[in-house]
Formats: sequence, C-alpha cells, structure tokens
Amino acid sequence: MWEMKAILITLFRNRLGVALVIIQLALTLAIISNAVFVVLERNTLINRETGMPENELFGFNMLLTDASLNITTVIDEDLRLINAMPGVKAATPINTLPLAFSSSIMGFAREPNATHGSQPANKIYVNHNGMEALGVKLIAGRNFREDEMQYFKQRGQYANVAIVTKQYADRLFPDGGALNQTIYRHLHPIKIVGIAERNMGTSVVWSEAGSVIFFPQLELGSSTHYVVRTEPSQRAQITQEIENKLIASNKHRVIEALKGLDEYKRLSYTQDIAMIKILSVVIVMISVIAIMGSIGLTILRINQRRKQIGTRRALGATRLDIIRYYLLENVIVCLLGLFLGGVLSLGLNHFLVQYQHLQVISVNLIVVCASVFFLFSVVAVLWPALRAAQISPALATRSV
Amino acid sequence: MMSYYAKLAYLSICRTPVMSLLTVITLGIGIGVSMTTLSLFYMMSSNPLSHKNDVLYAVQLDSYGKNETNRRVANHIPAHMTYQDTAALRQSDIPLRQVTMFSYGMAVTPAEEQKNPYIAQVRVSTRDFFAMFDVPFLYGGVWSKAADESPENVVVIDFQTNEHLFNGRNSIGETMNLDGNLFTVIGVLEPWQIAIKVYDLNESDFEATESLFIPFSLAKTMEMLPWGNVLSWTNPPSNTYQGFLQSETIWLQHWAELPTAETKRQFEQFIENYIREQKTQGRFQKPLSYALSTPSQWIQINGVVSDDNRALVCLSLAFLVVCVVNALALIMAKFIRAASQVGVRRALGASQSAIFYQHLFESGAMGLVGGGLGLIMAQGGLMAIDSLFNGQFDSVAKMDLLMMIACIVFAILASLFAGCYPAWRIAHTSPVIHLKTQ
Repeated sequence: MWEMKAILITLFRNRLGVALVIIQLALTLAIISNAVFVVLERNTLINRETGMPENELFGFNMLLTDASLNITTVIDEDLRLINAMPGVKAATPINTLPLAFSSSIMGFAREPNATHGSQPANKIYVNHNGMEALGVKLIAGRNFREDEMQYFKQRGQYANVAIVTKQYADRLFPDGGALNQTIYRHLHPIKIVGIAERNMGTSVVWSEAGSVIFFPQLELGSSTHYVVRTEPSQRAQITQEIENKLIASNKHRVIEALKGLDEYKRLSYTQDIAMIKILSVVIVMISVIAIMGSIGLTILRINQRRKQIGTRRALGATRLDIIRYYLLENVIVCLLGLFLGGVLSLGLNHFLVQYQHLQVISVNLIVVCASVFFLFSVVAVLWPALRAAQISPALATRSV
Repeated sequence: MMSYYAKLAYLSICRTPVMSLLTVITLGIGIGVSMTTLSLFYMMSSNPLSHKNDVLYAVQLDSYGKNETNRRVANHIPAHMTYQDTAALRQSDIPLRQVTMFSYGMAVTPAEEQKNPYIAQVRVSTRDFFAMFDVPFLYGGVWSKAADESPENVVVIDFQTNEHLFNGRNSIGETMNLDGNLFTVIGVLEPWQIAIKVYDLNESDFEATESLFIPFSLAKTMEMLPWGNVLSWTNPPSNTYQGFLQSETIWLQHWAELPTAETKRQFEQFIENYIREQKTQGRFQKPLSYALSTPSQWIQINGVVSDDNRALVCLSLAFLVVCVVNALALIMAKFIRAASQVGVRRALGASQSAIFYQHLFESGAMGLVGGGLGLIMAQGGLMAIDSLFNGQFDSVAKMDLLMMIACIVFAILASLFAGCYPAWRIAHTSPVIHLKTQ
C-alpha cells in the first residue's frame, strides 16, 4: 500500500534516530496531558460557587486599643456611619471573614448531648442584617429578626435560632424537613429558622466547606471583623474612604486587613492559581521545544537524503509523491510516539495518583491532547516536506 | 590539547550558529526550569536549626480523646498541648531548657501622634526561647526568671520595631503602648530571620518572625486567647478563662533542650510517668502516645515541602529529560553537518578517541553556555514563583552558592550526556564516507 513497506524499512535502518523521536514525542505527551489535567482540575476547584457576590463585598478587622471601651456601642456607631455612606447596601459585624483562611468549626447534633451523629459546621456570627450583607439567598424559612440578636461575654455560647445552608441541612437531616427543627450543641437547643441556598463559609480548603451555620450574635471582646456590601462600581471609592472615616469617628482602634472578598478568595487559592500558571508556562515551553526539535530533525533527515529524493524524482516520482511519502513517514512515527505517549501518560498519572494525591486522568483527555499534538506535528512537517519536493531530479546525475 | 579542542569547538559553533543556538536554548530552558523547582525544594527542606539538631526537641503529648485523631502532623499526634500539661513538663529539671509559647497579636499605639496604630505579631513565651533558638540581642536581654512566675509588663522588640518606634536608638527602659497597656522595653533584637519558622510551623512555614515577645505569665492575667490553632475534643469545665486553662483545649507549643542521649532518655521516662499518672485521673485516654522530634524531623512531619512542590520537581525533571533528548538530536544533526571535517582530520592521523573527546568538549562548551542561560532563567523563575505566591516564599525562593554551582555542573553533565552518543557515532564512522567528493 503506497510506500508503507519502503517507509518502514527506511525507518528501521535508522532505528536509533527514530527511537529518539518516538521517545521524545511520548515523554512530551505524557507531561502535557498530565499537566493539562491538573490545570483543568484546579480550575474547577477555584471556580466553585461561593454563594456570595464577591465583587460587591469587602471585609476588614477592627481592634480596640482602649480596652475600656464598650464594643457594642462602637459597633453601633460604626454601622450607622458605614450604612450612611453612599453606595453601601448593607453591613454586618462578623466573627471571621468569609473566604479568608481561618475558620471556626463546631459540631451540632439532632439530639441533646449526642455521643455520635453530630455534624461539623463552619459557624458564622452576624447581626440581623447579616444575610443581606453577605448576599445570602434564603430558599426556605425567614431571616433573623432584630430582637433575636444576642450578646455573649464568654466563648462557647450560642443564640437560640440559626440559619443553615442547604448543604448542612442535608447533612443533619438527610431525609429533609430541616426547617423549624431543633438541633443541639450539647444541651443547648437551637431552632433552624431559615435555610440558605449556599455559602462557602470562611475556608476554601476545608473538606466540608459549604456547611455553614449562621447565628445572630456577637462575642463581646476588644475586636471584631466587618463585612460591607456595596454597589460594585462604588466599592473602590468606599474602601478608600472608610478607614479614615472610622478612625476620625473613634481613634482608639486599629483598622487593618481591608480587602475585597474576591481578593481574599484569590489569596486563599494562591497555591492553586500559582500551580495553574506554572503548569501553563511549562505546557507552552515544552510544546515549543518539542515542535522546534521535530522541525529541525525533519529538515536534517531530508537533507541527508537529498540524493535519494533526487533519484526518485528522476525515476518518475511526482512532487506530490515526495510530499505524501514524507507526510506518511511522519504520521507513522507520530502515531507510534503518541501511542507510547498515551501509555506513559497513564503510567505517570498512576504514579502521581499514588504519591501526590492527584485524581485519575480521563482517557478522553489523553486522546484529545494526542490529537492536537498530532495535528501540530503534521502541520509542522508540511513545510520541510514541501521543501523536499523542490529538490531537483538533476541531483541524481551528479557524482556527489 | 584542551586549548586546541576549545578552538575547534569555537570554530564549529560559529559554522553552525543556528543549530548551536537551538541546542544552547534547549539545554538552558531545561536546566532553568529544573533548577527553579530544585532550589525551592532544597531551601524548603533545609534545616535552619541544623547546628542544634541533636539537642532541640519539639514535644508532643497525645492527650486527645479516645476516638479522636488529629492528622495535621504526619505522626497523627497533635502539635499543641494543654495549659496544665505544659505546666507539668516545666516542673521537670531534666532538660537544660524548656519553652512554652503561643502566637498572639496586639495593637501597638506609637507615642508619636503622626504614626498610626497597627497590629503586631507577638510571641508569648517563657524566657528560654531566645537561648534555645539562638536569637541574637542588640541591646538588653531577656526578662528574669521572676518575670516568668509573676507577670511583669515587659517586652522584647525586634530590630524593625526599634527602628520604627524609637528611631533605632537604645530604647531599653522606655515604654510602649500595647493593647492600651504600658510595657517596658527590656531587650532589642538584632535583625534576625530564619528561612523556615521551625519553632512554629502551625500557620505559615515561611512567615516572618514575630516583632514582639512578652512573658508567658501575662497570658493568664490578660486572659489571652492565642491567634493560632485552638482545638478541643471535649467541653471545658466552664466558659470562663480559668475554665479554658483547666480544659483539654490544646493551644500551646512546647520545646525542650536535651543535650545528651541520657537526658533525653530521662525526660522520656518523666513524660511516660506523667502520662501514666494522668491516666489514673481519667485523662490521656489513648494508649501511651508522645513524640520528641528534632528540628529536621519536625520540618518533615509538618509537611513543609508540600505535595505540590514534589510534583513540580518530578515534572521539571521529566521536562529536563525531554530537553536532553531534544539536545541529543540537535547535537547529532550538528555533528553530522560538520562530518566532512572529521573525515579530513581522521585521514591526517587523528585517532578515534581524539575525535570523540573533541566533540564531547564541544557539547560541554554548549552546556556551559546553556548552564549560564539556565541560571539566569532560574533566578527569574524563582522571582516569578515568589510573586505568584504573594511573597510567601521570600525567605526560600533564592539560590545560594551551592545551588548556583550545582546549576552549572548540572548543565555541563546534561550536555555531556546528550553529546555522548553523537560524539561516539561520529568518531566511529569510517572517515572514507566523509572524504568522498560530497
């Protein structure tokens, strides 16, 4: 069929060179497919829905430098000031900032003093405007009322009502019907008055992220955090002015860590974002190197066989025959290389799954990468093949 | 002979500039990428306390409940201890020194009006911290033993804080406002930075060291809650601070200095006796479990080198292999181009080994240049990675002299490896082929 036999014999005669090309193709595919896989995986991780309009929200910490001040008075003043600023939709004091690494996790159960069956939740304390400030959508029940707000001097105490995310409600009540049920922290009863659609909570790395329980309460101490929700176009202006305004109204405190929640989210995902960028650079570099090498090698092989090509043309081969010959040769080598590459990809992935806790790669992805690569190599060899076809048949008659 | 080879290599490279450039670039990129990840890996696993590696020990006691396992540290023992356990350990006079500490934050209100108040990172610790971790003092010293028992409002500040608040002068005896209370400065540190924060790997492994150090005895009087991990598997006896101190909440870090094997054995005995005695009171419900880890072990079991780092090292080594294979092919092409020269030289009497070594030298020369390129790339790569991680890796994203030399050596080795087979091939082909009127 065509010149298959001739091609294979020629390849076999120069087997070391061909083996080199095949190994290089295989390794490149193995690396690229695994790298692409990791990039896609991380990307999915980063783009998980948080349930909050991050570009409208920002958060900051406030620490009193004068311990004699009453924090509830300070917070009331602050909220009055913040809510009066144009462009602010809502604000709430909060115990930890969402999407900002640290988290407070506690277990709650369906029975008092349960010895097992308690489910962990990320606990978030807000005021009665909390749901609006965080942009949380309620799918059942109601929001907190102002009179349900409680203030605790000691840690470890909880309000009598709570709003939970649907994810947490499903963990506690797999058969549904969580609304208006009572759950317990040891002996303390808590009534679920509302169910929120979703909220990622304060940590993006927690395995149960998304199980959140909101309480209408405040822990009295000398510090608190705030979350403010704004019109997206006004957020930059507001963040510029707010620190000075707050210090002007009360200078016995430090305002720090003022960042948009989208920036906090980016910071939380630093490792994954970095990995994606690094791997993307590696993928591009390795593709460039592989293609450069392959074009160079093809030119070399063609140069080495100038006389042979000239002879074939002299014996009647058309330009198209020459082009087809080299394309076919390249296709065969490519297919061999990519097949080996597919096997290596699976092997490398297996190694990474074992030792680096990766997921198992899908064969589809390997096939897609291989196909793209194949296309590129065929296109890459087109130009040298066209050049080869230009070799004059007169070469056959020269004693060179 | 070497200078002749050098001249031949130079001429040959000039004659095939494109191929040589491609080879150098290929090797350079491969080396650059590998050295970036390798340097990071090397710095992250290096032990800044290696000179004290056989006397310092991080102490872990597993007081956690029967059915609870804390898996953050690789040996599955919690990294922190309860207040009562650290107090009990401090009763022992077996270790040369011990330190109990936790991470905290305080608001600093500078005396000068125009300087804004800010939050400073604080280490609340017993006095042996400085001696144990070799922290150098510029002025003054650590607080007295008395201050560890009855609390005094004293503070040791770091070099930058002294510059910022006191314009760098000897500020011993002056006061500063922390959280609304006045503290007296009794010590100022020299600029001190360790690459990996071995003594506290709880939050960030490469975080800057603290700005302020205050006595541990103040924790109780000021009812401090740590700014680090606070975990508990059961309820405190009451919701007051006293209840917190008496509870099973783990929040304190504890290190011991045990200079000899004998002291270590005695201390282990002390710990075992303590745990057994506590078991009779219903605590320490797990089977006897504790650990003493040297700084290098501590770095390892806290996973300072993350899985992602290791994966990147593997990836970059595989990348290097691809580059070397490419370089091999390019070098082969290069040598074959100049093969007619080889034919002439062989005919004039050059031996096969002479041809071999000459070509190997040429590869090595390209490797040297590639190594230089790779070194520049690696520096750039490390800076890029550090900025990708928002400066978290400032202390480790750099190449020390060893790494730089390793980079060049690596590059030359890679090029020799790549050039080995082509040089052998060209030396062993019959010269007659190349002498024909091609």
